[in-house]
Amino acid sequence: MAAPRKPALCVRAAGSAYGTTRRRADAVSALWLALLAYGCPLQAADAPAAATPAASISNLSGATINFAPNDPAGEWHSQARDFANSRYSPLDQINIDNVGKLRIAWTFSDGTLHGHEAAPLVVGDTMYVVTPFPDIAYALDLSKPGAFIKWTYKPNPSPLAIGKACCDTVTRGIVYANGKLIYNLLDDHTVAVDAKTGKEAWRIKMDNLETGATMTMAPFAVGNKVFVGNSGGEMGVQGWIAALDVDTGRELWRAYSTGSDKRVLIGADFKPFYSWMKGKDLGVSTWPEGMWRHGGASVWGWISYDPGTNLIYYGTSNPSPRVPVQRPGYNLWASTIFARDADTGMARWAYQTTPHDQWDYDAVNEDMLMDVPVHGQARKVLVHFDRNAYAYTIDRTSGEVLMATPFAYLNWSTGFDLQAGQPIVNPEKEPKPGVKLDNVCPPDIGGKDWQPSAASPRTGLIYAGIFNICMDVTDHEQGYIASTPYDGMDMQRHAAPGGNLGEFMAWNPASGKKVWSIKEPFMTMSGALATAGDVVFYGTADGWFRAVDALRGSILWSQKLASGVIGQPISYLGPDHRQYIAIYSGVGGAATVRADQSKSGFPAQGGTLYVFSIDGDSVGVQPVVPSAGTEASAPAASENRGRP
Amino acid sequence: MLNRLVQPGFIAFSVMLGACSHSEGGSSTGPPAAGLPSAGEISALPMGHIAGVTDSAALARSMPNPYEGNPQAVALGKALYIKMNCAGCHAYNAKGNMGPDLTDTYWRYGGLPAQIYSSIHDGRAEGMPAWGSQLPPQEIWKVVAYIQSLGGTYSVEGTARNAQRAELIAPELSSQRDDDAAFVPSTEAPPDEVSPAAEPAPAPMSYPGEPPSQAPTSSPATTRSAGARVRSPPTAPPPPATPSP
Repeated sequence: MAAPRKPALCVRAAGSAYGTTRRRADAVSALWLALLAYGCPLQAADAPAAATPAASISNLSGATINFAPNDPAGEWHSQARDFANSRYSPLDQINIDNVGKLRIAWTFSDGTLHGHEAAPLVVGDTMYVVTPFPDIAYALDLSKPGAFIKWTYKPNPSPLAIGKACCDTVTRGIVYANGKLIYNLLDDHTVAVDAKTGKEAWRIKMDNLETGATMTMAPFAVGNKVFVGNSGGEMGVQGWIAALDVDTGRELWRAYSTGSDKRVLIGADFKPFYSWMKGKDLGVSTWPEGMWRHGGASVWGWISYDPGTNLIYYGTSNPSPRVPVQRPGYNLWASTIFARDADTGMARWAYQTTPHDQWDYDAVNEDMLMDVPVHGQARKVLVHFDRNAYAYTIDRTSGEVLMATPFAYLNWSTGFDLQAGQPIVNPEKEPKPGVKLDNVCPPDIGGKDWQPSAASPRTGLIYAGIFNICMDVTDHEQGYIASTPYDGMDMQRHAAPGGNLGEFMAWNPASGKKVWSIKEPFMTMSGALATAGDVVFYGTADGWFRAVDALRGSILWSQKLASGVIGQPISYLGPDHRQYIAIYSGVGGAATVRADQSKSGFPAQGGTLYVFSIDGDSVGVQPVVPSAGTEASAPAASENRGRP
Repeated sequence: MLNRLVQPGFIAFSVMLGACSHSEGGSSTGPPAAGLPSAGEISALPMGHIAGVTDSAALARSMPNPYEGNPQAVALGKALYIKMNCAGCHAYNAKGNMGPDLTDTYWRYGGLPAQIYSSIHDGRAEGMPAWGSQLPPQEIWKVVAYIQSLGGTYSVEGTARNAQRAELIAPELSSQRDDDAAFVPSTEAPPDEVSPAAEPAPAPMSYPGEPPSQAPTSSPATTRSAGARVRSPPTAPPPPATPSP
């Protein structure tokens, strides 16, 4: 553990020296790489600038966030922590001044490989994690040294599901509701487990593997309802979202993403903002005869909820097959954001981000709910970084697009028509069957994939891992064969201009502009975490886990983990009232499937949870030198601490 | 429900068959169905406990793919590979996506042509559909021929040769192949006789059909002594070779 310490501290110093000017991310990351390679040559010359007091930070956008349901500050009950999907922790023990002293407190191997995309939950003194297939859940007792395993729940899902999951055998996690842990099994069941005992409370079959459907999304709970959806946009499934009763698993309503208005739960209250989404049974008529039946539009991403309007927000996946010439038309309601009444499921508005998607641009990415001044006027918005590389600021009460600006490199579109609410398609980048089309940007996984962003009410900024990737694509016309891919996209990804595959950015939702960014050689497919200590966290596909100054974008601390990081970091308060940061290491998902892994340095699989604290202190582990306020303890004393 | 699910598959298949018979234009791609291995023969084939290698020379020899190396069959197999959505899982370059790489010589369920046939025909537990209900045997064999053309499979001849070598090296095992007790590490035989591969050979191995590194000829007798040399400890003189006929 000695080796990472010095560079980490050095980078903290070097980062501060760059001050607050914009667009020095290149310099910072270049410097970081240089420090990695050469140690810490700049430390003596560039002494750390005086740390900015946390209290003096300014909100750059004026954004405010409703943190309902206002769970205890030290706990983490759902993947996004709150209904708004902010992934913001109000804890501030770990801040820009001491984050350089983060060390591993304990680790936990869950015995599985494949992509680890889920965030752990913390409820009371217990942490809950769930593994990729076979979807094992563990309860870890945080009050015991080393986080003792309280119970293990093995649901034994069908292995048939392995071959139906397009993008690795992942799960995106658990939700805690009414004393139950609820999550989806890859083999199309939703299960509820008693959080105290680890006993199964109920298990409901929600879809059929024989259609190619799987379930990977994290359920989202509001009150006594839990919302779940299916995966399988590459398999020609029928996408749906359903609401279940938390106590019994009884299905309360289900809304399909394609088909008649009745199936889609579109009624008199449905008022899309744009005329091209108005009409009867558009989920049928915007497809060639009958093709809506295998039209994809699955619901495998994030859900958010506005308590003010009782609406849930979520997006649907790409249309199937991925060969667009086989399905002329808008293909509603694929690649669409829906607003629905949480109680009835009835659609209130919809907005299709990519009409007649030709590139696999799902709309499943998170919808961050905030209130932001736009053009000088306070608006209730949702901010959505779409796979198509446009960042949308949408009025969440009406579905009107207020702003749409690119956040990542794109060439499939030449601009955005705000009047029509549609991107302008570049005809040169429309795939034709049997013709290899080079350099289409972004690729299938988009300018950003499912990896969720975080927001801070202190800076007013949104933080997100994004991609800098293009693809060479050849379409092959495809027949529908149940339970096989209804796909047809032969594709190779490669880096976009600049050569880096990943980037971590701060985004101003009021101006629709990037504030700073850090370029990464490998994909940044991890979730983001923002904290009240003004530190944001993210991981990289090659296994670096980093802490960044939320305002300035300087890297304050980095730790290389065993495998690549595609999980979601969280922060919690232990029973010892100490703040911890937790993140899974375990590369997989779309970072390995259909991707070029030949780049040297790409890590092997893993499945280990890492938990960090200042100096690595944790429950039951007594430091040799008593901790007398982490700020005061000299680095030398810290170095000499004995730990088991 | 099931009928409704498979029906589109049948439709796709009919389309595909039409295309195939059209391009065959008089079926010059290989032997008729009567020349194919029987279902019984295929099901008798061991699954392959070491990435598809069988130690049964006779079984391996009996089931070459009748379409192997036939360029027309390979081309039709490739067309089927795309039309039947094999490419969707195993990728258009067959290097794997949702499903495993078919070019890397690693086979969970065996890499002999007949074992690959079985995987396609019967399906496999981790998501591989069973195509036996949708594709007639000769079409599956053509897909196998295409997969063989990618270079990651085991050849019948090579496997037979290996099996023969195993027989030469460890005749005790080969002669009792059907006896379960023979697969338990034997306490009667010294370790260097049951697991020749465990000891490094002092000299390069030689195989039947290849010029032995030290022996002047490749007569059966020489080959046997080459096999015996493999199991010798580096410092000990060769034990008397006692192969059974």
